[in-house]
Amino acid sequence: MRTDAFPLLLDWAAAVALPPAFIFFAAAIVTALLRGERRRAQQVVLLLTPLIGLLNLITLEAGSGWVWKVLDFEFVQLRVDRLSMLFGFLFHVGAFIGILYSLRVRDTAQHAAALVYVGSALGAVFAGDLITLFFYWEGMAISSAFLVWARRTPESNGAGFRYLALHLLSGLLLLAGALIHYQATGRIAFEFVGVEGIAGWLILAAFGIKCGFPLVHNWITDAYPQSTPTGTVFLSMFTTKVAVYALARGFPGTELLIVIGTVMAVFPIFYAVIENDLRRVLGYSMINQIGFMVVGVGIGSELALNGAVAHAFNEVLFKGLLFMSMGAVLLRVRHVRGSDLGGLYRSMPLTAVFCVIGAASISAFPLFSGFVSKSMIMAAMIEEGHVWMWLALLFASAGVFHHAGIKIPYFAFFGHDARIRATEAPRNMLLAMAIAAGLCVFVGSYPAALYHLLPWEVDYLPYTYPHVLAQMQLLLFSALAFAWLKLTGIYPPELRSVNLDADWLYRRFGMRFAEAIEQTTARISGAVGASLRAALRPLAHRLLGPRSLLVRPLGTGNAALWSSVLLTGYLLLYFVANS
Amino acid sequence: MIALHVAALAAVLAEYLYPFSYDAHGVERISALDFTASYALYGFAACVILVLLGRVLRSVVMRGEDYYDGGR
Repeated sequence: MRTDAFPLLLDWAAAVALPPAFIFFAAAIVTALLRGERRRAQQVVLLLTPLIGLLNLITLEAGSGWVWKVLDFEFVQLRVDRLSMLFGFLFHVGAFIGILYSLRVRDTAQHAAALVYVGSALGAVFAGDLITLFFYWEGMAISSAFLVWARRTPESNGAGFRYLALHLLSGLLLLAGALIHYQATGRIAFEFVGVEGIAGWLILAAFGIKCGFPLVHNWITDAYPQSTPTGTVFLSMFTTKVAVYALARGFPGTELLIVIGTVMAVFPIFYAVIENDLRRVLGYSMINQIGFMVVGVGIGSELALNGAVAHAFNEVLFKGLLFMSMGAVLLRVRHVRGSDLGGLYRSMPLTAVFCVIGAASISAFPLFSGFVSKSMIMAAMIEEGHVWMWLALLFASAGVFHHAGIKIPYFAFFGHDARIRATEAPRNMLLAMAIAAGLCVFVGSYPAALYHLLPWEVDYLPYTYPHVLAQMQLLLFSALAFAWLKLTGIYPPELRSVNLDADWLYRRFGMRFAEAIEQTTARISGAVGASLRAALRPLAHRLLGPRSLLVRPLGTGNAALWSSVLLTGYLLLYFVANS
Repeated sequence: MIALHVAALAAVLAEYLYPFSYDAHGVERISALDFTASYALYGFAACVILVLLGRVLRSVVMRGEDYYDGGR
């Protein structure tokens, strides 16, 4: 990453190179101090933070830095290699886009939470050991929960707590796994973990929750639609990508991940088709995209791992872009229900264009970013002989175009005119979307720029005649199917509704179960308590009554006696414990 | 709509005129998809199946908007 453009400056900077997380934490404190009247200064600090971070990033040199030795442990704040650098670079770009997008928000708590959140994500990516990873893992969970709560509605309040509960569980599993791993191997370094022992399974479960594995995926579709228009953009960029990074570091080539990833890629598209809240549709679409990355990690070849992290890179940009366009609609129209939107391209034409670019990118249209990364995973699957899973992922690819590529822009900006009069998004939001859209097209048209950053050498050509033609056939006929199904009325209309998913287990069943237990125990303890009270009343009277032992005054001699008894007991305990 | 139909037809016609076979970069003529316009058919069929199954799913999982606030 080093350039020799400013050798002296870089040499000086390299000497003081900081862990990237620290810069964002410092900025969070400064931002919190610049409240109220000093809003301009706050905005300047916000915008400068990722730029200063980027300057710091390019001075980092491969290897381990900021190693703290405590007892037998080595805590590594800064492990720099091509994998961590790729995510480090990505997170700085994402942070800049997110900060620009949210620049006009008058809510210091939200800005500070976002900075702590980005800093924690960077800390996790550069952490060289499992304990440091755990600390940043928890930092991410807590700071991001504040982004959910920032909407300040009863719904966001509840969703935030459910979100935090799952993420704290993930942290506990990670800590337990790390400690057992240390007992077994005597090391806490975060390298390949694998699923050989109990520690590996615990750590995999921790990463799996953050990744949105099936059955623990609902925090994404529950919390992301409830956050603020700007908060969701941050949320979509970091948590799941840190999880993909952690999987790629700890579990490459774990065959189970191919199956899990395929399930993740396929089942959410059915929910996405019938979901009405367009930000929740994007949540389901996100699980689907992470599914592709998890498959890539599971295959574990260089091509597959390159594809997985390249797709993570692209998803931050195009999913961020889609969440930004829906955030702009939420800001201007106050809701993103597909059933009540339509025709917004008249009043928000630029947002509509950016949304279509994001949609084309996630659908993997040639010349857009998804095309050059998703296909690396697909090619690797064929190379390793997973034909059935490959067919399932091809099905999922057609489905992505259907629900994210067509449905999102169609129901929001085109379709029937809902006669909504809205103004175009504010300029800072448009600029943030323009940068993300520009990067989507740039990476899609000039993939060498991204391939150059990937951890392993890339020997892959996305633009071949068969690939382009096959992909165009797949996409155009998916579009044709959408058009025909819509015309014939078979396509399910957008309806205001709640769709039951795995979260029913804890939001309804678990809730009812807990209520039933609470009522039963209250009844039992009531009955037991009454009979116990009746039995114990005479004893209590003797002990605590007006002339009882504990109430009667004692002389000083007695007090001294009891004190010495206590002290002797304490001394005895001390000697026993130390012998 | 017309443009979409034209483009879709063109994509199939292109393969008819210039067929392709093995390609190590993401496209494989696996035996199940080794015929002209196979990707077109797969994409179309996938979306129809997706929507039909989506309708079935909706009939099973759809509830009122206030379901988690005590509604039915």
